[in-house]
Amino acid sequence: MDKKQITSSLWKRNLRKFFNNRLAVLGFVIMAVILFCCIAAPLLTEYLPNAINLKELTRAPESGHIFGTDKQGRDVFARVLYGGRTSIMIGVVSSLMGSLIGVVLGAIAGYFGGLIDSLLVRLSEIFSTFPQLILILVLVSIIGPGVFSLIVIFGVTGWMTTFRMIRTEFITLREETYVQVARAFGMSKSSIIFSEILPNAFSPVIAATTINVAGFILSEAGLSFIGLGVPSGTPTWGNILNAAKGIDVITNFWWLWLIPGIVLSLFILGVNFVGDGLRDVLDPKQL
Amino acid sequence: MEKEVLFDITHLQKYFPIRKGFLKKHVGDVKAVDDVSVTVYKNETLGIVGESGCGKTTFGKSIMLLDTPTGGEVLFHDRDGAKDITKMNAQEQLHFRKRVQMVFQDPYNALNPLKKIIESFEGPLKLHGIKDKAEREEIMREVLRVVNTNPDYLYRYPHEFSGGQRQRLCIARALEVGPEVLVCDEPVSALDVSIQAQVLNLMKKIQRERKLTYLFIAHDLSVVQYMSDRIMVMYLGHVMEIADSRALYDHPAHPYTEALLSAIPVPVRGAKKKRIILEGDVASPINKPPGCVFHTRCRKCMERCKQEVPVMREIAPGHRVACHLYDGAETVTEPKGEEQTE
Amino acid sequence: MEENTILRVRKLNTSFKTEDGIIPIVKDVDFDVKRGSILAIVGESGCGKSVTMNSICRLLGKNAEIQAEAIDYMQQEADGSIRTVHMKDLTNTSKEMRALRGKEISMIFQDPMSSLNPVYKVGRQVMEALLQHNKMSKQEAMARVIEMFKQLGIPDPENRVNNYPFEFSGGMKQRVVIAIAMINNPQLLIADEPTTALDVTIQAQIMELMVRLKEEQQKTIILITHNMGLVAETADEVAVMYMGRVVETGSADQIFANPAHPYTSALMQSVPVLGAMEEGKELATIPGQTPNPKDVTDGCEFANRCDKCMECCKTGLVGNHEIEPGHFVRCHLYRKS
Repeated sequence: MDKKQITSSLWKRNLRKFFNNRLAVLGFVIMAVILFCCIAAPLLTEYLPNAINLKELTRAPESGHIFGTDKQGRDVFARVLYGGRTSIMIGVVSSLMGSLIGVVLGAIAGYFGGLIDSLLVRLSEIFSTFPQLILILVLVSIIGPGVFSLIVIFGVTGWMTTFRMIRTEFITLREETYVQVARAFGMSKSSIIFSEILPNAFSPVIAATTINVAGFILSEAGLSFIGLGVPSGTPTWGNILNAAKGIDVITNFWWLWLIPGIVLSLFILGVNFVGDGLRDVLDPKQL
Repeated sequence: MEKEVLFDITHLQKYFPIRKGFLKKHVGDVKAVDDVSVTVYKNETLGIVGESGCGKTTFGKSIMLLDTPTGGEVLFHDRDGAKDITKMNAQEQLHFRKRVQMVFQDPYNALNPLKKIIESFEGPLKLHGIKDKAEREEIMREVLRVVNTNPDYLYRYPHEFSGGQRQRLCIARALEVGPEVLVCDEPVSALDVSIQAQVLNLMKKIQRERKLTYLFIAHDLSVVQYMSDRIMVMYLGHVMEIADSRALYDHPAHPYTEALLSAIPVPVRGAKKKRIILEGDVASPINKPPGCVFHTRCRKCMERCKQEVPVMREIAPGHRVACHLYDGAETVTEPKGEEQTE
Repeated sequence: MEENTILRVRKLNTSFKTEDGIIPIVKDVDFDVKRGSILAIVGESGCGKSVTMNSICRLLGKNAEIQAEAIDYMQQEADGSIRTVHMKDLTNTSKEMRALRGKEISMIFQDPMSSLNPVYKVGRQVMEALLQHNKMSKQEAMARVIEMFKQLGIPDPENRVNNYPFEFSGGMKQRVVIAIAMINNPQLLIADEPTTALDVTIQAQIMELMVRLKEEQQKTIILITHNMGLVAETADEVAVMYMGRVVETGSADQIFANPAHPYTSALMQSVPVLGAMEEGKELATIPGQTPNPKDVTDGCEFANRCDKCMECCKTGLVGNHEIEPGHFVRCHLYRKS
């Protein structure tokens, strides 16, 4: 039989399963389109996100400014695209960071058990029960606001879900026969953890990381909206919505909050659909 | 023929501590293996039989150092003398694992589901120092030939195989590093009846061809008897009886062995023998009864049995039993393995 | 039809809808169960023995399609007369079906651990089965439960009813499961691998209990198992199944004295017999693997593993031949030319 064909059968099967899941495909398309537009922003609009144009204040959407302009005459379309870059970056990087911390700590706790496990579990409980907002206020006051500090804060406060997942998976998987086999051959602890157990524990993490991206983008929007997030000089989806604070904006200038809101929601929805789809596809128990 | 000793196991003990609370305070022990002394000879099959919770699997895992024994001694006789496996350094341990391998109960989980067979097979070879790719390939093809399996299977995933095929693959993988001893923990109990016979015969064939020693652990006495030269009967972490396979069937000495033998349904119509139905259940391995661990269910229980732990006595050559019924017989507390080697 | 038949199944076909299309799992299954006897249905995993029983009791999911010429249950009324219930005409959840399940026909499953709800006391779980079919006070019901525990050999029943499942050992849990099945005094007990999860000494206890139920209370038992030893020791009648078909039926004496189907005889020779193996003699084996039901094609299902396979076995249907009174074999070897 053709070796190559057999080799790729696992991937092919996963891809086919993913493409059979209509919601996941829809989510993927939405996500990809928005992501592409943000990355390709300079090609799609000649406006710069922070270019103030006092002649064109609060224009409604028209041919020149398809999403209209804001109170300082900045092009909303450009702002949404450039802002998306920062927001998505924050979401992705924080989520990866959180997952990394969670995976490492979870693997240690789950594989070794005992006292170290108890300590790490308590630590994760402290982090989950401590109000995130207060933690963020404390951290912002220490390291100051900004994209970088936001990522650090999100990473440090967002590892507990992954930790719990990986820990549980490890506790179950370390008793699996193939792990015993590896031990019987004398394999080292690290190769057992990384080569035997982790790949089998990873699928829920991939799904959770994806969904966390959405969560962190929302958190960024929320924090920036109340002024604790990224400084208003840098456009992010949160900062754009921040500008829409105030009753007069909501009643008179609908495009300032409705359009960025819709883009944000669509992206979040897309990411969640993809995450849910991945969770079903990657479930190793369905092999 | 003088029998060559391979393992000399004395008073092997494995307790699993039960810890509670945040500081993991030690509150008790699961006494999985309490006191097992047995000698394993080269080229024989020693069957280990008992019901769930008797410690047979833990015994096998202790021999493999998958569970570190908490007491006793496991001497492994090598070309360069005997060595206690619990005191081996990392290098010696790796060498030991090359000579002693294990086949597990559950073939469905014994192959990493995300790895192709070749990946699962290559790891151990690399680990044990076979750096050359062509040489590894040669070995893999050879062991697959030994288990009558198509070498093309190497490029497939485990889920493409049935239970019987998977167990063949697992046996092949264990053989890769050229072991002399296979510890087989219920190797056929997860398989269908018609497949069991295939695997059992295959294991016998491999043993003949490669001059292997088997430690064959199973709950099914008929299977153990078919495979083994000698049988060790375990109950609650203790050895009840050790005898040649035939002798154990013809003259079971321990009341537990008798009950176990009589409980096994025989697929012959009208073969109904007098059945000894054991009352009650196995006692807890955490709070074992004092005296003989079997006395709570024994129909020949005497006053002594409730207080004194019976010692192993040899009642016929090679036939040892731990039961107060044989208190008159010659006492043998230690297996005499040591003296039989030069 | 014989007088004392309690269950009659004719041409039962069950298939499952799956991603790979419709896969037949049970094919043209016929059998009769005599009142007050033990019928053993023997076969390996995937042979359709459990699906057959679940089809009769209608315990299958929506993707299963059940067709049958007849599934008749002969219900004995209080006055001793017999009423025939045509079970194939009943829907899964009809009142009559529910009245039948539990009250007339009960099932015992393989795994006692998952048959009990861990959060309720065992006494309550047995009592609920009783109250489902009977109007009585809780005190009365509990008294019946304790009585049943006593009958089934559960020590100290007055206190044990107040224990949770985790406080019972495997064998005792299976007794509780049997108590649930027996509490409504059903006439037909279907036991699906009742002792597979248990130790041999506990298995001996449970099997003795089953035989006692038959002998002392004239219960009818269908025992689903893969263990030829259990069949030899307990069954009166035997049906051997392979890949969805009953390949051989007859009395246990007939089957063990003269296993006619190549599969039956191969199966019997492939299990080691305690104390009866000659030194150095190998077990007989059945070559190949049990096929996947979706790969089974035309002809005899066993043809590709059979050492007596002939050209005619590879296509078409195989007839059912009576080789001695009451002993039927589905194999071309016994065709009358």
